[in-house]
Amino acid sequence: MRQRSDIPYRRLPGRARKRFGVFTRQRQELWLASDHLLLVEHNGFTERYKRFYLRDIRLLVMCRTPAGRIMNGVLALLLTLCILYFLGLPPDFVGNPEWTILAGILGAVAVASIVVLPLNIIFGPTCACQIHTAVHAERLYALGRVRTAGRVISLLRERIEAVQGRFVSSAEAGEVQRVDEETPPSVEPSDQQKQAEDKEGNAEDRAD
Amino acid sequence: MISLRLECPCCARDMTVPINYPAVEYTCFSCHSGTRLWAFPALLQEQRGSLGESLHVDDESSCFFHPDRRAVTPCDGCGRFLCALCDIEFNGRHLCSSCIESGMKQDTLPQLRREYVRYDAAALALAIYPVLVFYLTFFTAPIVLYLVLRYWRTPISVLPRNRWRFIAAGFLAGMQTLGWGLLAASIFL
Repeated sequence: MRQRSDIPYRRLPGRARKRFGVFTRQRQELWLASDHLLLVEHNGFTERYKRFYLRDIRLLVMCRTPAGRIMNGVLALLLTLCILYFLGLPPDFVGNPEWTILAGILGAVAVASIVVLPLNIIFGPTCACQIHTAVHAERLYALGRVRTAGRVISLLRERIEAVQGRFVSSAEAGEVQRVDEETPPSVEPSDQQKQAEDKEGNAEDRAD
Repeated sequence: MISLRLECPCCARDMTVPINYPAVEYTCFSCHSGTRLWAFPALLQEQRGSLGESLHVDDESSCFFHPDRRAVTPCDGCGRFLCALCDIEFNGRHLCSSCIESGMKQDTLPQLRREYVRYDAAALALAIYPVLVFYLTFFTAPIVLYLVLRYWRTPISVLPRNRWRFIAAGFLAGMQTLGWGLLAASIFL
């Protein structure tokens, strides 16, 4: 008989569909075991697993994205247009079938906007997270909101540091660094991008 | 200081980020999105496999796969002697690559399982969706019953999941089959 895994897993917050997941039914979940993080990808009627062992995780990256703000803007715009349309309707529009159908469609859009807009505001700003190992970087679609990502990452940091210890740079090995002392480092374009941009600039100069 | 070439999660542009603290904040020069990064000691570790020591004395045990290398441990699966290169430590056990491969094929190492087919979800979907076109249930209800009976004891996930979908699918398929049976009885009797 096949063996069944008896690893105790703990479900982490966050559950989101992948890009275009509404159509492909792909969604992600995160589960934490004692020594690894399990990324579960639901793909219709299959489950795929990716295991990230805590001792192998090198980086966790969280980047704020404008997707939430854009969605808020679009929903607010739709709602405003629907309200303006209803304000501009003639009082006897119920008798006119064309007006009634259009009013019904826009009413449905307005109701959807009224429901989704506050939810989107409550869920908070959006983000994109990645997990890096020596050989691989994986996007964590399940962590799509800053609040959820913050909770999960703080938990993961605790667990990873319990396994690996705290990060100390090679240049300053032996010294204990405090997170409070951190200063944002300057970020420069990579060499390849610099070269590519130089080439583009040269091409434009030639064209001029 | 360590400099890493990273891909921005937002705009996918590569950038070089100097990392000298456990937590680093930076702004992407391309999309200007604020990014926070947490580094861990694994970043500083160079991961290199060991080739294993050469065999100098004839009476020493040699690796089964590399006769010129000294054996360091026997495989916990098949007992073959392994050198440092062939020894794969997995969940506290020392295994050779062929044992891991056979474990994956025979499903005796659930920690290596990468995919499960969710027969319970498939059975439930097959029991529910055809109800919209009721005549389809004549064909799908037996299939659902087969799936429930055939895969009832099969592991459906590495995660702690119960079998309520199988129960619900079996119940629905049973009701559909009963409905068709009653219909057939009312027509023929």
